[in-house]
Amino acid sequence: MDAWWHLFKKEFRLGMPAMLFTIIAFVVIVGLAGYFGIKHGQGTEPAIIAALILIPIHVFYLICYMFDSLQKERKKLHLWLHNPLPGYSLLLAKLVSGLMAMTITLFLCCVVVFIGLNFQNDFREIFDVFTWPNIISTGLFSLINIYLLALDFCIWFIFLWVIYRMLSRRLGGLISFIISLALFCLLVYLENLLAKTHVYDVLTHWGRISIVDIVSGFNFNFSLDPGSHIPADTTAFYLGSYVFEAIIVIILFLISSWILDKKIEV
Amino acid sequence: MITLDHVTKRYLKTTALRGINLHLETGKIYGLIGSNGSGKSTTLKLIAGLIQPTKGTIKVEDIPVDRRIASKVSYLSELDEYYGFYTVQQTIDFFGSQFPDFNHEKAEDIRQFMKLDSESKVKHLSKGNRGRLKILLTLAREVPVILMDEPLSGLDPMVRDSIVKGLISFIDLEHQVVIITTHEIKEVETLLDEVIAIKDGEIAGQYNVDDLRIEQNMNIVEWMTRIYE
Repeated sequence: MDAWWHLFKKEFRLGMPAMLFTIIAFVVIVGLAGYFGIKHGQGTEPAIIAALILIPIHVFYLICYMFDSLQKERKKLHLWLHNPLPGYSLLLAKLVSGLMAMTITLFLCCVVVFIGLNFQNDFREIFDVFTWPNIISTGLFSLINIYLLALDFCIWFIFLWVIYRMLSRRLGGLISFIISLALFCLLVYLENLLAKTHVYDVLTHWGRISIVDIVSGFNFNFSLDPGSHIPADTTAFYLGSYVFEAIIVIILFLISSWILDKKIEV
Repeated sequence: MITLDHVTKRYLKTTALRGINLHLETGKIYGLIGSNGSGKSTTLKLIAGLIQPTKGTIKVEDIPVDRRIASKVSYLSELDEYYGFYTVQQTIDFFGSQFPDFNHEKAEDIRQFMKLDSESKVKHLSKGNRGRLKILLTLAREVPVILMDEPLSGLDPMVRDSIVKGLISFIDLEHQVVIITTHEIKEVETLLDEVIAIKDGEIAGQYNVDDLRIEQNMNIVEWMTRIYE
């Protein structure tokens, strides 16, 4: 555990420039939005909207962080891989440091939005519709999904990266890239095929959670055109589908770790 | 101790090693010599588990080799890449944290012998000092196998001799086997027990260095020159 902790600290230090770049980019974007908002008489509203938009974009944070980290490690593979820790430990150290960096920038975005909602008068009317418990439950639900999606994307990326690295010393860069891409498309296609089957429904359609339950208490009205309807599926999701996706991601992670231990060449 | 059994290693378009057999024993320092591209570095990477053989098997202490043989093997790469954001001391501490067999006292002794400033940033070190740091990190581990790929490369010729002499004092030959690849044959000749010549991916010869001197009346350079003629 001590070795892993020191490895994690190294990974966090390695990823520090990427994290600082993200924070600076965030400050610049929100700052510019705020500056132009004030200049054009819209107050800090554009800055808050910019921060609000940046929150869901964090689903891509971890994949970018991992890409950067693995790129930096590319010329140091003889250092990174010459380590008695198992492959999953090496990858987990990068993953956890990425999650930590993501949490810091996500926290910054949320703070800006939170302060904005509290102090910007233009947003006060929001509280006529939403109550704080609604905002918190919806926010938490969104954050959990952002983290899960970010992890999902990142582990798929790790899987494809190890496949690419495994093949590149044997087949060359271009062919390996094409094969990795083709494998990704094939796996996504197969997963989509599976998602349309009855077996998939049986496996995943349990633990129904209604969106209405999460956003209950929201006090807003909307009308539909005559004859139109909202499909039942869009108002609910299943815990089973989360577990199913988690199992796939864990399998991909374990395969990646095995390939890292046995097949990657420096 | 280390066994390579009919090992072949092919890269994309080249064959680096062709069915080589080697048996290396504890208590000896082996010199792996040969021209550029002969397969020396490939052999060390194979033993370190950092690449895999196309054919054949490699074992260290009867354990089939993969990346995690790092628990028994200390490997010095020919590459000159380190984590530049660390200082020398932080690099030593990081390595110490990753390898349970890392001897911090020994590392400090080697650091002083190598005259490395513990507070210098690695990215600001000269090539020579980075070379010394590599040697330090490799020798401070108390492992059965030490692999050194061109350890003297980048070092000032004037200090090579003293560093080579220092190497002996930091190696525990009762429990370790050391394999060194080098082009600086004359500098390491006094260090070596056995010399293995590799030519075009094949073992061109293996000799006990003393026997070579006594029986053949040749030094390693002369022997190597004859092989490559």
